Amino acid sequence: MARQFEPYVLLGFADERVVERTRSAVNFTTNKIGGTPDWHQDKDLPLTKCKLCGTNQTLVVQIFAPLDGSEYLRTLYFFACPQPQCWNRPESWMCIRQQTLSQTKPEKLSGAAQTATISSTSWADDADNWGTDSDDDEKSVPSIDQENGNVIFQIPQNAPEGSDTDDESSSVEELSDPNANSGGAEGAFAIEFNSKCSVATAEIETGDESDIVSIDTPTQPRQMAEIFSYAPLPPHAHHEFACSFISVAEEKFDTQRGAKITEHELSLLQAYQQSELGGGDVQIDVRKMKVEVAGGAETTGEQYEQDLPSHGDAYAHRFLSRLKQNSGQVIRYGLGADPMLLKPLSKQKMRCTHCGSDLVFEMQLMPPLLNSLSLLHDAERKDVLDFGTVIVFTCPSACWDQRGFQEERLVVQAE
Amino acid sequence: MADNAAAGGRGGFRGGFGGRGRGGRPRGRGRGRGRGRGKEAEKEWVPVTKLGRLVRDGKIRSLEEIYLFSLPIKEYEIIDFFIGSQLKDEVLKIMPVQKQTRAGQRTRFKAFVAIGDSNGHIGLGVKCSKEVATAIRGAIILAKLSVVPVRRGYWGNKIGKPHTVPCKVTGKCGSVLVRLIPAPRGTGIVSAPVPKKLLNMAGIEDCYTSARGSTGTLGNFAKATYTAIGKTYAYLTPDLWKEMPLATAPYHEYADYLAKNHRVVGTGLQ
Repeated sequence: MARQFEPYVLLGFADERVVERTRSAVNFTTNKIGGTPDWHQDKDLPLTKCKLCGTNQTLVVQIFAPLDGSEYLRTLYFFACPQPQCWNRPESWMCIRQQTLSQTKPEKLSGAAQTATISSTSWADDADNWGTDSDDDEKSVPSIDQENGNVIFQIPQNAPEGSDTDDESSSVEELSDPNANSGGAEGAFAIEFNSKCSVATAEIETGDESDIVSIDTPTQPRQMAEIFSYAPLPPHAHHEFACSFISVAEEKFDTQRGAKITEHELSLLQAYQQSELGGGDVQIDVRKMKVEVAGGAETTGEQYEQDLPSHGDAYAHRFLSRLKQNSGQVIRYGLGADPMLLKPLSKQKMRCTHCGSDLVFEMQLMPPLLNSLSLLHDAERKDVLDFGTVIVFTCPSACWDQRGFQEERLVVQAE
Repeated sequence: MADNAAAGGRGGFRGGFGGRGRGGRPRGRGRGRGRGRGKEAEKEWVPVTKLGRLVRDGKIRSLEEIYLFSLPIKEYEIIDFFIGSQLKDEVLKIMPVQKQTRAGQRTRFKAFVAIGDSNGHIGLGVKCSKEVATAIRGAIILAKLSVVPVRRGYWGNKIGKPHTVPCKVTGKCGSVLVRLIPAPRGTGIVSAPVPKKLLNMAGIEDCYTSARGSTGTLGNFAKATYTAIGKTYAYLTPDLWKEMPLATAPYHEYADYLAKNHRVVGTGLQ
């Protein structure tokens, strides 16, 4: 049953929590779960509201996913309404794509001049740096000798060195922080935590949202039993999920496993061999771990049978079996690949509202993500969100308009 | 910790997403996880369904609560969680089946696995696969997913523990019809080998059986027996005539989950 899958399907796994120490590493190029959205260039976009009940939506995941062959730094933000009556409804989810042109190359030169002037306050730190101790990290740290003798070390970031051939290398490291060049030690620290862009993202707390609309009533629940569902959250508060990093790996299927027999199966086979039902058929070679089964189909009259689990949901069974081969995955990223479905998708073609091109599958959120979600201010609350899978289809040309962000098409499938 | 100087070029990265062909360099500086491959991941169960999460968090106290509300069990670890230690599985049959393709015949192996705890639960799984090991593994999983409760009763005096089927039940699959008849204590199971194994695993001690149809097709025979055993709880016997108050959902909070399920079946708000 092994299909040939698209070569590049990447899986995201929930990683460690973001604590104070690592908070500086979080910017718009970080993949993370929860927290507050790190917008590009610190443009604070207005908080999105749920279309069903009007509660502020919470950031679920933020994924940095620049397209191949594009200079744009592209981030996808997934928002969902945490109210229980809005779970599993596509209207309560939103995916926003924001991208900016990576401008660090030209900016580097002008930025150097800027940092040169600003660093006059910290020239004393650099005065003793004669360029020896900062060279350990990279092959050679490009430096700028100022006229007054200061040596300013630019933390190597960009393509000029040619170490990174990926597009992403030209992206992140905006040295917009005036103190970013203060010493090689800082650079090493930055490399260690992968934070070249040390813009501190402000935590948006409820203070800003004092003018948020007050919701009169949540929408009418569709079914009686939903009245007895989870306690709804206060609608006017700003809810936030606890923030954690995401680590990425390629999707791999352990094809070797099929051939090997475990001990348990071997014991089952040996018991079978001794039983009256199947004694003569099976020859087991323990050393070679090979099993041979005699007997033809003509004698037994058995046919090939599709394995349908007794709960009857073939889609769910296929989804879960495939999910379990890489258990714990929270994101499945495969631009142009086939999404894993819980239910069949509608046949109609999806088109980008902006440019009209056909939308293509990019990534989907997987159920284990729910194990990593918890409210920041109410950690006891166990169930904060529910979905089967959330699939996003994006415009392949990453079309753009002046608003600064673009909404992407989502499909939410319940379990 | 400064593991990848090259990867240090990316902000906050433990590997990255991107377009096709982009290096999704599979490095994680996380907790050295096994990524779900290999043995260590198999010990820790990451629930994927809502029911799985409820079970893992201990909100559901027994398997019987799941059966009471007819919730579909989509993760076999749920069964393992409750009765895994008492479950015994057994291979009923492995046979090669052939499929005619343009390039000749393709042989696959079909495995029948029965699983039960000899105390009121029985499951049957069938899986076809190219390799025997995969077929057995898949069949065990399907058997666990199909575990149903078995109702036992008395033949005569209600002394001691129930030991036989509560009434005559019959199950049919294909052309095979299997009938289970209550028997007095001490009779044992009077049947062909295949139903005997299943009835033993279900925890039925005494039973007469009667089979009709092409019982040589082991698949249909086993499935008919499994259906018959499963019907023991579907049968309304006189001692259940008393009106019982509708049990409320174990936790009202999870009633919305029930609403979703009943919607699937088609009842809902009619």
